[in-house]
Amino acid sequence: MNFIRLIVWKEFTQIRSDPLIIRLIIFPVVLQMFVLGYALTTEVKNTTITFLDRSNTPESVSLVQAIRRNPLFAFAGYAESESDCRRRLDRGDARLALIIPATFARDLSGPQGANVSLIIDGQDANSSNIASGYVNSIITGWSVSFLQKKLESRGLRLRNVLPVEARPVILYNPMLKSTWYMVPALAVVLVTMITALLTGFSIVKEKEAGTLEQLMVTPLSPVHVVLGKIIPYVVIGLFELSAVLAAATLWFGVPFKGNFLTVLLFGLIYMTSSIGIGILVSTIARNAQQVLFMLWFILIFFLFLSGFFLALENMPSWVQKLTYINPLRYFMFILREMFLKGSGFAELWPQGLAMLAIGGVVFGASLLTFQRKVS
Amino acid sequence: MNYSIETNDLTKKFGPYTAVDHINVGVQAGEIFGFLGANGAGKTTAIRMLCGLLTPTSGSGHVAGFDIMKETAKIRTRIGYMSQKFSLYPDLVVRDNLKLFGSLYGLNKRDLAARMDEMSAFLGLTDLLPRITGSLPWGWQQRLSLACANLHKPQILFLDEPTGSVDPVSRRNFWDLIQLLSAQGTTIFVTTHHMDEAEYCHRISIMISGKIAAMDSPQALKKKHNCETLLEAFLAIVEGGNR
Amino acid sequence: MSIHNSLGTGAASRPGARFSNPRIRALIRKEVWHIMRDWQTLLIVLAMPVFMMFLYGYALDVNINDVEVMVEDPSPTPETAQLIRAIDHSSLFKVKGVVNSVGNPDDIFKKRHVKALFRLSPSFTRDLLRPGSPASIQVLIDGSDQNLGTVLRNVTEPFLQKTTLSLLNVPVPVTIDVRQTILYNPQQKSALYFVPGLMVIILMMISALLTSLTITREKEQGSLEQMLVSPIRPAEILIGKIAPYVVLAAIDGALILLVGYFVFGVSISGSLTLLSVASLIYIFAALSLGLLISTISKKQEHAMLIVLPATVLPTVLLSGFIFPIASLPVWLQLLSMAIPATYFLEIIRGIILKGVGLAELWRPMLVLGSMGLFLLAVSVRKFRVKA
Repeated sequence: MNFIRLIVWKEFTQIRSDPLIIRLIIFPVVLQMFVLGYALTTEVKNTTITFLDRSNTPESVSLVQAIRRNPLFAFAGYAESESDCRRRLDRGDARLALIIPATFARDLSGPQGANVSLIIDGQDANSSNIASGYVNSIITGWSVSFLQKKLESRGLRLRNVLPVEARPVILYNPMLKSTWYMVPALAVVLVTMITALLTGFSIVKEKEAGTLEQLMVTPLSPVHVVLGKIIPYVVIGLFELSAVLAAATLWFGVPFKGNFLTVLLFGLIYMTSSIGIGILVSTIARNAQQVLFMLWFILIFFLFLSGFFLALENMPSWVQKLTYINPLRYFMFILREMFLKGSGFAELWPQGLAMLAIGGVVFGASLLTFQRKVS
Repeated sequence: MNYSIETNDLTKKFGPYTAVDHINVGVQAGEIFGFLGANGAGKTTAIRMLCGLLTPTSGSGHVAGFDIMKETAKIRTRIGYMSQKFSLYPDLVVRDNLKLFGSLYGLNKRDLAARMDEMSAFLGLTDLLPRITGSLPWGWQQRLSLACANLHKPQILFLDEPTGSVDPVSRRNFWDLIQLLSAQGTTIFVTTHHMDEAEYCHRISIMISGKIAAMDSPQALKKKHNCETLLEAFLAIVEGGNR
Repeated sequence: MSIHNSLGTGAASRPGARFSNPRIRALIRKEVWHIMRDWQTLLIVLAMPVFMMFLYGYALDVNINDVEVMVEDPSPTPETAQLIRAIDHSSLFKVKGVVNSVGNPDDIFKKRHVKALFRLSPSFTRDLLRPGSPASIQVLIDGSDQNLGTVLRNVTEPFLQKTTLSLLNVPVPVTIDVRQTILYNPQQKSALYFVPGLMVIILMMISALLTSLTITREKEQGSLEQMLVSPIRPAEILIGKIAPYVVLAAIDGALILLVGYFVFGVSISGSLTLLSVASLIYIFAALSLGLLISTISKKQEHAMLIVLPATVLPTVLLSGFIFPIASLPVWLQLLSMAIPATYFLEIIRGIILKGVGLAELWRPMLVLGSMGLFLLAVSVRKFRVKA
């Protein structure tokens, strides 16, 4: 115990003596928090749209207005012809083009209904999908109200014509803000990066400098060294986690419904994995550069398969199975559920258990390889 | 006879390459034992096995009466080790480095303070205690390494090319300290390729490609090979070994 | 003030201090040797893009389907059973369970992790069969995931209307049919979307990250100082250090395009030559950025902690690769205009997907080139002062 305390003291003294590293621990995290907090939006806004209105009737103008008034779209002018539409998309001036045919108003009352064409810039499959979905739902909404007016003129009410009435109620994130969903997950990413990188660097640095060998000829055992090295970074990690959570609630206004101590406990369990990965990588790597590359490689893999910005449910089932070994997946899920739904141990213990198991394996493996490599 | 350091056919192989090939040495308490050889002759590998940093492939050895295969933990409390590379924390101040290594060797607060005062006075480090270690000149860093390795009064001090690139005056001072420690009963096991350093040793062994080619006192070696200087004797042995 | 003032301008101050090919060649050889010796890093550098392509290729599916829902059906009838079956068989939803009464809906969302709960009213069947009174369904949607929540809010009601209408054998009234044409990527193949994005990220990583790290490492080890006192000119040192990484980046770029073509069927609609030229300009800009970072940092850790938030993250997040620039807040949109990746992504998407040429792309190429020159000028200045 005494030995561990010594190494902890040594680590903190070293960290304290390097003012730049302190600034670099704090500043980029703050920066990332704010940039990412705003950038990580899955919302698709300000999509540029151009119109070719061949009908030019009150109906067509009303439809164009309905889309233009919607804050999700940015009006990119009227096109003169279909080739003009195409040119605007080619140049990147517009991402969508809506073409209303000359027969629009007449067809609207006909038995077959009217046609409009929507040309979509499909470069970014994801956002174009979402944006065209928005256009579709605006058009549907407009046509429902058009139908309603028509029925009213005949003395009927739409409510009485449609068979069901479905009232959507949005729970947990009633304003559908993407920050509410992304910022808690961001905390996981930042904590992982800082703890894994710092532990990895601190060990590989000692290896490069030969001080690790100097420690190994003292009565210290490898376990002491590892535990002593970890504790400062666990403290930094927990501090970081709290800071990010505080920023999430105070700055980004994400409601926090869970219990703070529970978060810290889950965070502690999680860090056995993130720090374990840092140790594992640093024992294999020969220099700091390799540590960075291996960690970056692992982190990308984990990020993709965590549900951070790609929903796990959409992935093929073999990829989904792969995500079960990903500690990020669980901690991200836990934080999101705790933040928005206020879940606690009662609901989240299976995820906690999974993290504990993964952490145990990773940490155990890292201790074993460390012990084998240094002696 | 009870040796401070004793090896029996100690061997280390890295794959097909034999770095240390069946070496047998016996070093007595208080002796300064020099380990000479060209770069790559296996000196560092040998010293690392004795310190418990490497596991031997075969053979056996005892350091301070403990088996180097099984009792490395016990050995570590009784030895001090100074590697050829400066390996203290350059970003800590001198005092913190001393405090860290003293405590790692289990000195309690009072003993540690006393030993730190003693060692820093002995090595002339007192004024440097609040300095950042990395900012010290080379010679002083070496002294600090020696101080750190010696705080816990080890029975045996392993020095791996301790004065690599230190100026002659510092090197001389350094060896005065080593002789003083030896006179106080500390066994010194030192590797070097500086002949002037070898002259300070009570006995030296000369290693060629993992094997011990000769082992005797410097005087005896010079006499045996009819040489004026140790360097000539060394060259004669090395050439004889390579033939 | 030292002899290194001669960088760029004062060549005359040192006789014979012309760029020397053999000297640069020797430096390049040394650097290549470094790279080859560190095979772990090399392996990662070469395997990473391929690995990421497969991840993206299989993990990325932008279509939302089989959303797990639960149904509360307090008074089951053949009609409600039929409706539930229709919901389950739709591509949009998947019914995870049907219960008589949910009690507290909160528990369902917390424990069963479904995305929506459909609560049929107790009088659902009676209301459905009686004209003039719509049967009511309360739809509770888990809005945590904004994206999914928005989609569900928009599609659920029309979906339920259509489904019940067809159950009742009533023709669905059509007013407007939206015919969609998707340009540039008609099959919405995700490969067409991520191959350009990966090029942007990987080239930035190798060029900026690797160079800034190797230069900082040499600084730490003192070998840079060693070289600066030799007759080699600072500019030569830089060229010698950088050239192998340009090659490495180019190999990675080619690897991405080849895997994209052979595995994911991504063909380049525009000019390959233009693409190569644009890539080299981008690599140049990224290398200059890496150089600048290495002149600022003294230790490898510092370089790394600067380089990640300064290059890789903005490249991933602000270039428009994952998150459309138009959706960002204005201050981030401005920031995205300051990073090279934004322009390169525009160019590379233009060439690969749209098949457009220099006429449409000269502007971003010019910006990219000027950025590179500017960054190089600043870092050479700093490098010289340090030296």
